[in-house]
Amino acid sequence: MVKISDTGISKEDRFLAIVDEHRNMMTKVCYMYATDENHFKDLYQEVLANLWQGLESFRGESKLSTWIYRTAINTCVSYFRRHDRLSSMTTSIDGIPDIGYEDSDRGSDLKKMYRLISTLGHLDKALIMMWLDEYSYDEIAEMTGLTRSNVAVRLRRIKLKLVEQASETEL
Amino acid sequence: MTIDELKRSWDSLDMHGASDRETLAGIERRIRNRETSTLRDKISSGAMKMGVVALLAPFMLIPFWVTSKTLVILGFIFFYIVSGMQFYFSSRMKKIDYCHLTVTEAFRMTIDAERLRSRIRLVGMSLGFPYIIYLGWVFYSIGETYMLAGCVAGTIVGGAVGLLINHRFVTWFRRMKDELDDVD
Repeated sequence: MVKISDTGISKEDRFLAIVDEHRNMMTKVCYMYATDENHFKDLYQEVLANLWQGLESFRGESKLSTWIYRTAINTCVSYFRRHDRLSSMTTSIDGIPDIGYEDSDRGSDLKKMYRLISTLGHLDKALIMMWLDEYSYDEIAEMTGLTRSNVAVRLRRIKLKLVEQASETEL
Repeated sequence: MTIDELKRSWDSLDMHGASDRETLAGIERRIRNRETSTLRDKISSGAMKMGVVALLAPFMLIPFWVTSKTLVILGFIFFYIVSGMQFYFSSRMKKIDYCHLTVTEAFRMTIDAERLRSRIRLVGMSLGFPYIIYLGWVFYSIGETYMLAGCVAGTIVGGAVGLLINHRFVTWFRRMKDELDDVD
């Protein structure tokens, strides 16, 4: 049975509109946490399932896009497959979904970016993605539950680590 | 690659080619049609089913009441402890709400739930293996000589597998815990 909300839009239609509008952002987050194509699909499905389940409880305390972003990050940060628990969680660059740019320089830059970010832990990965997506320190602090100063210190450390990693791989 | 280059790469990341569009559409359709649920719900309902099975399982021991009352009573105690732990785990899983928790809360609660699951496994093994040996002994004493050997062998193999799983879990858990401690 299709339930109609106060706004007169069914949950299905609302969900569709949200997914259409935020698909790029959600797939970006899943992509950065995925270790291979199947993992990417599992994560995407899990993010959508959580959004579907939480949609009716969203009361607008934060912006819809922020809520979706946080739900996507929460899902990916906490999605531990049996495989992850039982192995050393190595990331295969070859196994990751191909973005398929014709411009090979751009494709190579993106692989470098993926390789760099994939060296970070779950929480650090979330922090750097929020920063890359231009969330303010206050917004990041609110989403992560860290203090503003902790966010600033951690981000500085993460950026340093990424630069070091990048120079090491280029040597 | 500098931080600015990283930022530029991130901004230009257009995911339309990241996966087959039809695959993504298929996933979206399954969610809309309620054909799949969240991993949290699957784990929680799995634990609930295990709890119900453990509630009913000891009734299979009733025919052995004449042979050994202790076997039946211990069986009820063992299975009801297991059942209680599974119900508790199921309720803990249900409380994890990824839509309203902060990122660190979600991470912490998931890791805590995984630790609880591991503890339940250890408690189950610690109580279950002596019980299985005792079960074998009871059958041995009424002439079923192969039962004891079977139970001992099962306990050894099961114990080895359980310990291996636990060792891997502990390694994984330490890594996750380090991440959490780092933000506290």
